[in-house]
Amino acid sequence: MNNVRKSTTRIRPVKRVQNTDRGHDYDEGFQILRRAITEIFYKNAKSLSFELLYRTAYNLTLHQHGERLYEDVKSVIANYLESVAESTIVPAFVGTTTVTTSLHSMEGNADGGASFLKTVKLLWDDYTAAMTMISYALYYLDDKLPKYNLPRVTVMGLDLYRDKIIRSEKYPIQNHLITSMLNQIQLERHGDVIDRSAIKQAVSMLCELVDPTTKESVYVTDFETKYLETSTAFYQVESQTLTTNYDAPEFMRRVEKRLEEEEERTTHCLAMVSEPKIRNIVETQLIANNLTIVMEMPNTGLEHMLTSDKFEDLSRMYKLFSRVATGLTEMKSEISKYILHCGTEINRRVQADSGSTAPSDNKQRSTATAIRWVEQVLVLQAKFDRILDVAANKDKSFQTTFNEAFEQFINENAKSAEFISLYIDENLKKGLKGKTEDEVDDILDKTIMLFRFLRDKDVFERYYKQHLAKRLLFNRSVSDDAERGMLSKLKRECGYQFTNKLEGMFNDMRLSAEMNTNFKEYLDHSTKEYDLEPSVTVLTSTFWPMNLSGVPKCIMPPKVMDACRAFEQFYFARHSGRRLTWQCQMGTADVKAQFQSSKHILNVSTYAMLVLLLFNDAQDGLTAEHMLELTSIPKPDLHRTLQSLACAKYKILTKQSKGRDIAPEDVFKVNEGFTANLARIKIQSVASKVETDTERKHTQSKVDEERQHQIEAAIVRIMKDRKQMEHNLLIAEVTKQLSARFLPNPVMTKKRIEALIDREYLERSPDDRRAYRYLA
Amino acid sequence: MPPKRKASMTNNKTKKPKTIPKKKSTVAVATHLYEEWFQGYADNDTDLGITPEGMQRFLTDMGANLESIDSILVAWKLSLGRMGYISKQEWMEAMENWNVQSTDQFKSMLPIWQAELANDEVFRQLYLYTFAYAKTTGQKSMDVDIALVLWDLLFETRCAHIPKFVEFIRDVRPVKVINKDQWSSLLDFIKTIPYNLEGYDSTLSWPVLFDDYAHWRKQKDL
Repeated sequence: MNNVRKSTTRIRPVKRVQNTDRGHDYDEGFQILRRAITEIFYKNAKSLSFELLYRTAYNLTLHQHGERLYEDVKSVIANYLESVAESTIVPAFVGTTTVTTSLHSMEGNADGGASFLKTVKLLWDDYTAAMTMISYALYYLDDKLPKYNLPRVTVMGLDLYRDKIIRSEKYPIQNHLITSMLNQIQLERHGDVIDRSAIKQAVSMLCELVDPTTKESVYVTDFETKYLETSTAFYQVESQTLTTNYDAPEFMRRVEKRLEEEEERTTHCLAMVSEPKIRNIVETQLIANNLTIVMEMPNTGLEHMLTSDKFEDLSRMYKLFSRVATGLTEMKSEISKYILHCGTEINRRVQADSGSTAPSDNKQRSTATAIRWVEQVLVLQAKFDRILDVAANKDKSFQTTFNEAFEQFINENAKSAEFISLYIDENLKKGLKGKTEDEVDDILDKTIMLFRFLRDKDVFERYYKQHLAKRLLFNRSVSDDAERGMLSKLKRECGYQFTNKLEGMFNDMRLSAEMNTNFKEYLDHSTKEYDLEPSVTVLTSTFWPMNLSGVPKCIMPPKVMDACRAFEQFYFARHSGRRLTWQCQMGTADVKAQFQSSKHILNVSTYAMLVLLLFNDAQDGLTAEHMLELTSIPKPDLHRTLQSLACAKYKILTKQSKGRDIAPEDVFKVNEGFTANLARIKIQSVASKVETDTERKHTQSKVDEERQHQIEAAIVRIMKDRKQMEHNLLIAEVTKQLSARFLPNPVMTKKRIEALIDREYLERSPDDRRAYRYLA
Repeated sequence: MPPKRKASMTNNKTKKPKTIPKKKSTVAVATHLYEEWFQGYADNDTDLGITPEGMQRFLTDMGANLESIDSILVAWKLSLGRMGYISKQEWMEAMENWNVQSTDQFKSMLPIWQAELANDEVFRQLYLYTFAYAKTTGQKSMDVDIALVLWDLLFETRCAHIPKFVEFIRDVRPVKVINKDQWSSLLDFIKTIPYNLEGYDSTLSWPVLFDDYAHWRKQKDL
């Protein structure tokens, strides 16, 4: 441990490397890089050392040469691109630079066009690969670029490519590029097969480049605009071709095909951003511009499709038209017109029918006409229900349009309320016989649907009441359940008020049935002998549609009178404070008749019974005039009764004169030789039929009278609530409140307001002429 | 006295003519004068007071033109209830109100009254009064023929509508009577709707009678 010498260690400063010639370093460094870049571009990257390049770039950047390096690199690349454009791309130009639409000039260019695109694509692929490598080499610089506000190397590369190749100012590369692509597409549109990959690659290339001003891809700014332009032109021509050469169904099929084709093409070789735009073009040119043309094509257009139930075509039309804004509106309006046309036809046929038949058959025919009308409308409705379902995809707006059209033509027919009531009447009397409950329900439901379309529901109510009364009193209903079913449906539709009276009628019938049983017992226990078996139906007057005051008392034979009096006694014993009025025109009677060779029981109306009984005392026959005196039956009714007895199928009486007309001095005798197969014969007399014009007027005036009351009640109700109201608002409110029953005529409403002013329910507001005030 | 009317009916007496305060001392003297004056015109066969014949004389003496609006104007100012008649009570009250002692004094008031009519509001009061005054008492509405005459009388040439309206009613005869609402609405109608019927619409709240008039005018293209 002895030889340790104390040594002084000095710490010397590090020797600095003197970097005096920075520029010299730069040039050297840059040379390396420049050579390297060129090698990379010529695909000789293998021979390079990545480490060297990276280090060089790193050093240069570190020594604050970043910007200069960047710019120099940029110019190297730019030069390269220019040279390669001249050497590779320009020679690959094919043919002309105009987009041709004629097939001949295109065909020759087809392959050429594709190969040009491929050339460009190759260049692009090489270039992008090279740029990647370069950017790796310049990685350090790349990182620092944001500091200098310069785009990254890759971006710079893309921009250079864009400006030197695609948008080259020296060579018309862009033109050729775009034209080739468009030509290829045109060829495909005309049915040729093309190399889609070429276009696809070109598209992807363009998509990567960005336009500096719009920030959109070059695809959009350079290619897409032109593409859309040429497509529009193409489809304009196509539109012409298709509409002139093909009928409606074929046209639509081809349009569908075109749409599919374009979508497919866009998906497979263009950018999806173009999809909505090209679709719009096709839709506008082929569909929107041709809506009317297609629909109105003779023999194959919309009308034909509707008439012949071409559901598939209609469905296709619906799908196509739903693509354009006004398509469905137009289609709806055309269909609406068609429905109206059919409806007007149906209405017209009814007019023609009722005008052409002989007067004597008129009554019979006209019921049939009514039924026919209803059935035709129901058929039409079923058809359009099906169309709505199958073709229009249950589109609600279509349903509304259909309904409006139906409503319009149904209400144009003044007799529709009557017809519908007659249809129901017919069904409830005979038609529903033998049908299952479901079928019955179905028919009634359909009629309710028609009923909904009626605007003047109060008119329907009146007719329904009349028909129902006859059904109930003459016991013509085929099924009580069906009657009640119908009633409950009406109640659901219109509320309690509507069916209140109808239910009352049913009630009366039920009560009368009970009463009759009691009455029979009463008769059994009474001492007096009656030759006949009376059966009485008591009707509450407010429910039943009769003219009470209008019926004059007819003279009944004493036996009948006795029975009537007996009933009155019986009835008043049970109910006090009521008044009974005998209605001779609505009853029936069973009369035992003995003819020469046979006995029959005749089921006849009360009037007919009175007439027949007269003959018991008049063996030589009676004149019509005499009978009139004896019975006091109103003349038209008497004539009708006599006709039913003497001129109908079963001739109980003989009539002196020929034909149906009855003159006062016509003599009637009992037809002694009458025979028939049945023991019990029903003589029809009062059937429900379509009204004559006079009857209509009468009904209408009753309806109007009722309406006036309704309107006044509504006005008072509204004014009481609001106290003051402006004229137009009042009219609108009245209309709204009454709309469930009928559409009030504004003039009638106005008149009612004036009447109420006169009766001092209302007054005109002193401040505002247009308003009314309620007077308590 | 005319039969009792509903309370609302007396609305036509919307404005009482101006009253001049009277002095008590002169009351008795005046009454006597009035009575005498009254007797000069009254029909002594009846107890209705002054009857149409006497009325005519009275009006003529007053300088009122019988064919013109004057007769109604005077009636209004005197608050008369029934056209063509002046009851004693009405006479006495009226003369007291106006504090008129002589025919000449009365005569001098007429021009003042006539001048007042230039005022629309005054005319309106007169017009509304005329309905109750001139219609047959006991009825609610006025006979259409009387109405036509009155309209001609009241409006003379004031308004272009009136002759046409009268013609319309004579031509078409849409109604038999004119009710109060129609009468009073007519005045508003003339004021609001121009002669050429521009802006007239049957959806407005005018009575249906006017709708028919407008329709008739349009049809005749007048």
